[in-house]
Parts: sequence; structure tokens; C-alpha cells
Amino acid sequence: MKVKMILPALIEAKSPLWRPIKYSLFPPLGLATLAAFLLPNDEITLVDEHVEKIKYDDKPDLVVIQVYITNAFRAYKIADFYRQKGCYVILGGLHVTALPEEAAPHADSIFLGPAEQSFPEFLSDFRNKKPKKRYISKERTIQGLLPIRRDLIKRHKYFVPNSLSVTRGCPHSCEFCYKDAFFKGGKSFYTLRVDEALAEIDRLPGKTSVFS
Amino acid sequence: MNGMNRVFQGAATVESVIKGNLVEKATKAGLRSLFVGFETLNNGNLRQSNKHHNIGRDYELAIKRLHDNGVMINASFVFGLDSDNSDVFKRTVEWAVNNGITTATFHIATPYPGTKFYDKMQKAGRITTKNWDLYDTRHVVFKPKNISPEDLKRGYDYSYKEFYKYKSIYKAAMHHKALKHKIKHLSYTAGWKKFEPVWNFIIKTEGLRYTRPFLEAVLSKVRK
Repeated sequence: MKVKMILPALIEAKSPLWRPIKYSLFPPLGLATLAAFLLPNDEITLVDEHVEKIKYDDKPDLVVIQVYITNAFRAYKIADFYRQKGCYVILGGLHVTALPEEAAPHADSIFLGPAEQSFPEFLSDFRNKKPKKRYISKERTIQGLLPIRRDLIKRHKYFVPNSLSVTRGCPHSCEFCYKDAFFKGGKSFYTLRVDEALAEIDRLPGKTSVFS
Repeated sequence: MNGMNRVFQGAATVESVIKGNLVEKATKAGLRSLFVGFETLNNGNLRQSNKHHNIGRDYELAIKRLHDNGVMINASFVFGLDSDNSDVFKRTVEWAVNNGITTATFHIATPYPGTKFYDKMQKAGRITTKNWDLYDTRHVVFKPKNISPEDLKRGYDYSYKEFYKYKSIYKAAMHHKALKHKIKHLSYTAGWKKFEPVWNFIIKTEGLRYTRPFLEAVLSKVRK
């Protein structure tokens, strides 16, 4: 199966004349985390529009798009384009979780909340030709996952390719933060096991890393 | 991570910096720079945001603790919450400079859909646009309470300019006692902001891979 994973960019970041450094800071770890659930013989392309142009001459079986608030309109355009081509398009992320009704018309399936459990569930449904319209995260853990597919990340394009996240969510509840909306209906703060975190650090080449 | 010979940056709350000896342990394991969400110097704002864990904490105590451990601070501030009026910008920047903050990011309060902040603004009829492209924390997308949208945008622009003026950078660096930390602070901040066009050129020409050793050098040279 051919799979294309896309992180669309803010308008500003796409401009060929001015690309602020902050858009080249961190690689698309979320998509690379989900890519680990695909099979070894799946053909995966991971595109981060913050640092590269999207090529539109392909026809993947599955298009996975990560949506946050300022890339939402652009994400919907890309989604519409691939759906017209006949590709199966799925949308997930902060903005889709916050406004599922806005996102749904642009997708074949949408994902609410973190997708470490719902994406593999979808993949099995999809391969059995019975995908659901909506996948809502309930059970949550990041322990015991397969290693992030860092091989799909174009390391040289990022200032801090060695970024990693050893937690999800947060123990606090600030009113301006997405956290409560994104983690609704389940755990909102959970972590890797220490040995898993250390193993991930060991997999990173070089000396510098950034945690979040 | 102790003994793994790594250096790292991370994010933490004021509370976690003050409590226990986590900072000392993290420094031993390679912590060199920390993102801290100070958000506001106004307790009313923190209460409004339900960010109780900063209220009554001593921000300056947290800063001192990090600096004593040789950890650089990337401070984050938000403008436009209900207790903010037009003097918030100058006060915040002066405080950041006087406390030797290495780098700062400023944000215009942005009510993201799905959050309690958004629901409150929506109910009060204070959301002024639903063009999500503008929800980038650089545009005013709601009616602030004690300041005009124009003054909020102007004050936000002023804060970046003022903080990153060479004078401010120099003054903040001089806050550090040891000369080696002063040099590190200067090179880190100046390298970050002042040479942005250079960075952009490097990014465009895909030269990032050649710059990483410099980052590692800046972060690792100074030992306590």
C-alpha cells in the first residue's frame, strides 16, 4: 500500500523568500510516530511543508494529514485535492479534535484525540475494507510502542532533528491551552517508561536533543 | 541520562524549577537551556487562565536557581489577557531584561476553539474573526478587555524589538555574574535573533547540518 503523510504549513512558512527559522526547528514527530504502525512493505512518503514542497503528481492509497489551527484551511484544500483523485484521506490533530464538524466534510475518516491506539485500529479496518468515519481516542498509552520512524524524517532540514517527547498532555489545566480539549474522555497526562525514554535517546545520533 | 554524555533543552513550569532538586539532577544529566511559560507578571491573568501553579510563586527565585546551575532560559509571555492594559509590554520586557532572560517569545493571547478561553470569548461576543490563518498568536482575533486591539498588536511588536535590541541583549547578559556565562548568553541570543537573515539563508541552502556543531558547542562549553 502507498501511504502519503503530510504536515501542511502556514502560508508564511511556504513563502520562498522568507522562511523564519522557527519553522525549521522540529521534525514532524507525530506523523513519524504513526508511521511505525504501517507494515514493512508499505511505501511511505512523509512530507513536511514547513521545509519542503509537496509534489502532487502521485496517487497514494492512503493520505494522512495532520491539522493544526493555522494550517487548517490549507490542509482541507490538500485533502479535497487527493479525495478528488480517489485517494482515501484521513485527518487528525488538535484542530480536527476541536472542530470535528468543520473537518469531517474534507475527510473519509477523522481522528479525535491522540491516535497511538486509534490509528492501528483504523489500519486494520481499512485493510479489511471497513473503515469507520470517525475514530475517537479512549484507551491511551505511549508505552510499548514501536520506535518512531525517524528514518522518514529528512534530518538535515531541521535545526533540532533530535527532538523527542517522553510525555503526552500535562497535569495542569490552563484555560488557553488545547490540552483539555485534545485529551477529553481519557487520560490527559501519561509518560514513557524510563527505560523506553533512555532507549529513544540512545537511538538519536549526535549530542544535542530537545525534550517536550 | 547521567553519564550518557548528552546535552539537552527542555520545557518546565516555574513550580517544577522551585520544588525539590530536579534542576540540579537535570543539569548533571545535561540540561543546558529551559523553556519556561511565565505567561504573565499579573496574578489576575493567571487566575483568569486557571494557571494556578504560578500564582504566588517566586519567578525570580526560579530564574536564580536556573542561572546558578548555568541553565539558559527561554521565557514565554502572553499579552492581552483581561488584566493587561497598555503598560504591560514595557513592564514585561524590562523585567525579562533585568532578570537576565536569554531568549523570550511573546504571544498575543489567542482563544483556540475547543478551549475554555474560546468558549468564554464566544459567549461574550468577543471573537472578532474566525479566519484560522490569523490564529498564530501574532494577530489580535478577539476584543481585549482593557486595551485596544491596535495597541495590543503595537505593544506586541514593540516587545520583540525592545527585547532583542543589542542594548537589551547586552544588559541581560551582564546580569550573569561569571564572564563565561555572559559570553555564552551573548552568542546564543545574538546568534538566535540578530542573524535571522543568515539563518534563513542557511535553511534555504540546506546548510543546517553544518551549523549543528556550533549549537552543541555553545550549549556544552560552559560548565558550572
